[in-house]
Amino acid sequence: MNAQYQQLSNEQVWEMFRQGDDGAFGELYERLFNDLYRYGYQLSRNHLAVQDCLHDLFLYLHQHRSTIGAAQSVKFYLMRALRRRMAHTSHEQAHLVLSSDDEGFEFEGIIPPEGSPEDEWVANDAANEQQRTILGYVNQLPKRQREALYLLYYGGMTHTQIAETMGVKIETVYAFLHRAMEFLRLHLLTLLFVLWFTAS
Amino acid sequence: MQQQSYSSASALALDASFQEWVQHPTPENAVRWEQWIQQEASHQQLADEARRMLLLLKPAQADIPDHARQHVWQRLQASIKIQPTVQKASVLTLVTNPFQRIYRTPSYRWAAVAAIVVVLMGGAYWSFFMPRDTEVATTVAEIKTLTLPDGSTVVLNANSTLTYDARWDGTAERSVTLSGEAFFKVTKQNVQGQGVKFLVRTKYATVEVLGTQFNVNTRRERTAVVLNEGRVRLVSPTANSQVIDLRPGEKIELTAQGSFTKTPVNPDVWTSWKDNKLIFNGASLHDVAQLLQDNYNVTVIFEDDELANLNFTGGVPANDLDKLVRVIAEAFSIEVTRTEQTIVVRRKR
Repeated sequence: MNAQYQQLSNEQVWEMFRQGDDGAFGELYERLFNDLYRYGYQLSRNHLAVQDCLHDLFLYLHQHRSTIGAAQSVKFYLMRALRRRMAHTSHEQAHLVLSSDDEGFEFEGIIPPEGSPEDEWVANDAANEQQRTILGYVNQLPKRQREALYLLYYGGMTHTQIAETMGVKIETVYAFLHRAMEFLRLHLLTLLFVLWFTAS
Repeated sequence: MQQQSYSSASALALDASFQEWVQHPTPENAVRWEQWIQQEASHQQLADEARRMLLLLKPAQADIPDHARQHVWQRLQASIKIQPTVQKASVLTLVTNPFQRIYRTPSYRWAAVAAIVVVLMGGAYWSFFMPRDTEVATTVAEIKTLTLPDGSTVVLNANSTLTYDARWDGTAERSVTLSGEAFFKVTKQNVQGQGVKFLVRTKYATVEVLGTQFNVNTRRERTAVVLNEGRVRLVSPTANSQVIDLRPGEKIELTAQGSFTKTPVNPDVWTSWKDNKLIFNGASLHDVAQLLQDNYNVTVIFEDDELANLNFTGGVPANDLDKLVRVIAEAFSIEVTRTEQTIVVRRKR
């Protein structure tokens, strides 16, 4: 957005913000808005709730800039802060509760890039059908397992950071992730078997 | 990068650098992972499997509504101006607290001097170059009339704040942010034959107009708009970006949840406050109490809940709270007593 920050990492911009640079505040907002918004929306499935909490979060940062600490990873720090805000906010409005268990963090699969080993799937109706079925299963995993996958894959977080964000033990995160991945792997094995069977 | 052996495709799929390669392949990570795949026959199969798993894990992301980024930013700017006290207080502690310690070593002293210089220069830069928003606020029982740069007039009710961009020249988009209640008389403006929109941004909706008269009230976690003449359009900043057109004599209320109700009203009743009159047309005493709370910061206590349901019709000067209290007491033969900040309503004994 602003050329003077272009070469700087999120963490460097964060330092400038802490030291009173208002431009850096705007830069952080610009850089992180989308990621935070998407995460907040996955949590709540409510646009107004996300906007309220983002407003409150950035207002808090602005007001406490001189007392907030240095951040190892700004994105992690803010995602965690947003989650806490959305989960614990004492707002009297019902809309600020988190969405129900079957909502949020649904996966839809990716269209494989052309020429990649998975490209042939696109042309294969049976494969597409199977892929949709698997996604249906994945989306029935408990919401917290889906959230852990989301944070790992799209939040770019380490296991420790996921544990801190979700407020669970790191062993729980390992268990979540491993269970979800094994579940996915077994269903994929079935898919491959079916494909091989139909092809032969 | 740890490229040891992986017990299963799941373990490989959970490896951060493997994910990085699948999500954002670069020549460097591709070389490393292709080497790993060549190492053993079983690696190829593991990698294929893990890749497929990860490709399925793309979340269904909803689109971020248009203007959400801008909308939240504007609200944020308005809030930062309304509540600067915390910031001042924390700056103050920063300056006063550490000083006893800073004094002791010369290097810290120089650092402190440098820091102060930087802060002062930053402040000077900010105040000279950053365009500031213009903010007009009213306190309890105060009504202000102001004229915007484009000639539109705004009557700002008590306890309300109106903010607009200082750079506003009114040629691109005329946009103000409101919290509280205000009555707008918007002048039509054309640039090259095109009408220039006038936007009133509130927490739960944006009101779009070309030229008209209307009242906006954002109190009590909702946005209410009453249209006197002309035509306005409301856009609620939610997913479906609901667009609602309003006709003269209609009142619309939007809640935080995004639901809305539209009712026909007499606009004069809803905008009488701007002429320093309060008109009630069968309003319950509960509604009257809320209005007093909003505009005068007084708390109304009903000793008996039934009293809150009485309906009141009548008009009183808006700047005379005592008179209103007397009129209501007489109309219902009830006892209404007022202290500085509280009004107590009870049955006559």
